[in-house]
Amino acid sequence: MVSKRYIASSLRYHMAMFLRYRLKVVTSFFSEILFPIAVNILFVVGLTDDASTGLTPADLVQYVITANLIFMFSMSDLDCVVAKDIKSYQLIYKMEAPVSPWLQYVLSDLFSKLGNLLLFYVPFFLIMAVLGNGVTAPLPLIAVFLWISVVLGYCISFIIGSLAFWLTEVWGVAAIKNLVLSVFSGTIFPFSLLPNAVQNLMNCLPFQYISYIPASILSGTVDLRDAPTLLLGGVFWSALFLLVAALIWRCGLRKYEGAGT
Amino acid sequence: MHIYLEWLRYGIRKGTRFRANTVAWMLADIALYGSVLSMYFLLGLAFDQFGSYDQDEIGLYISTYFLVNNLFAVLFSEAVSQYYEKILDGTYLYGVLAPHGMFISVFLSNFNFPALVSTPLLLLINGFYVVQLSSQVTVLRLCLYAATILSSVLTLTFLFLLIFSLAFLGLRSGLLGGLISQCFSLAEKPDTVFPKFARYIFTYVLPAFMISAVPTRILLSRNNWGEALYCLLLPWILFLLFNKVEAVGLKTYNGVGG
Repeated sequence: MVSKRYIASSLRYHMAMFLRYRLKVVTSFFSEILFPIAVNILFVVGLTDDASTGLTPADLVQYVITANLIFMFSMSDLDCVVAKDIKSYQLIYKMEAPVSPWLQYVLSDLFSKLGNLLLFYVPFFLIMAVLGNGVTAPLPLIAVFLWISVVLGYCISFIIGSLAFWLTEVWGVAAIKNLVLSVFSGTIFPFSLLPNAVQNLMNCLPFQYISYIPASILSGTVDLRDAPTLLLGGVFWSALFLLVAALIWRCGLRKYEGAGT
Repeated sequence: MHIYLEWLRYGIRKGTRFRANTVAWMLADIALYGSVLSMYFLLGLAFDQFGSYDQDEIGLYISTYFLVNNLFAVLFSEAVSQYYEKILDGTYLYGVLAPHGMFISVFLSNFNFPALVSTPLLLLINGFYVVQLSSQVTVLRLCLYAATILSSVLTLTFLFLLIFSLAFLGLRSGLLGGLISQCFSLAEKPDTVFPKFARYIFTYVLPAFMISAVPTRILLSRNNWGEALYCLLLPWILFLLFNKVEAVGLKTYNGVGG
């Protein structure tokens, strides 16, 4: 059970850190959010310029913005944080705390992203409100798919970070994760641009639930009659990844030794 | 000569001693190339053209981009970062006092062996696409292509040195360097899908497409000679600018010593 005091103090700390270095906030907005989204928009719209894809430029812009923002929110560098704590004495301190280490990591990451959400994502939501067709899917459905996306992102990060119990370096594996997921999660382009056979193959992978499915539901390009099937798939994959992450963590803790003062 | 070889051996030994780091770097590089090539392969199932590039040409384009980045990573990226750190922590003066000068000592002692491990693979991929497009390639164009690749590597080096030398003037150029790095990631995408104004800005103002589009177009005989000349001259322009900024900055620089 997490106390309100812990949540409040953690939130205060992360917002203070976020606003402390204002130049870093401005440059991170341009380099990590605005520029990548703008490049992806120009790329996808320019690529599909003279092709009949059934999607208008406005649809593509809306999809790319939504998919990128969801991807940025769901994915984190927790793998490196967890690996660093495993390699140092910090994990022992986290395990001694009254709050479970996983919860500490997740809350810390969520709170540090809250600044981005409030300050940076809002302009993009306004663009989508102007350009888009509005949100047609029910809000609880959107919330569930966003939840699945976040759970998958954190589980993948924990799985990779937990490899530090056995490997000396995990940054290479973390880099692989970031690169592979950015392509196979549908962040750069919607899978609906691909031939049907390839789309069916991509639908078998869990990564579509990170960006493609939530973004398609939010932008209204998915038939809501498919929602139960998609939901079942999402729940299955998130449960599976949770189980794998928990197992790897438990196996790693069995062999873990740490020392500190 | 002996000391230069020793520095090179130091870089190689550093890479081979920390084998896990070398393996991690190699895996990350392979993942990067694999994911981007996979992305274009998937898109190639739906689209015949990427802007004005067909599938073989886009393969050449991406492999050129990766090759320039890889050569920069092997030869100069760690040295450039070290240069910036030395300015910040005050040890820049030790480099100036080194018998072979600041640049030779920093650049030679920061040879990045782990990145070199994936260079043969990249050369193979690049060579494959050059052979696929051999009907469009002449020997002269191939030589010019190689020259522009080397020129692009130097462009990246002197651009980052110029940005980091702004730290002498009290600017937090590390953040600016990160922003510029992000801008250069644009060069992985085919330039002809972007609007003309964006192409112009990212070719002549912030020369991101100099490291991918311009060498590729030269090899495919689609360049204009103005941009080819600009590509070859740009590193020297940036070098002169960097020298000037560094000279101005050093007048007021305070380092540590003891």
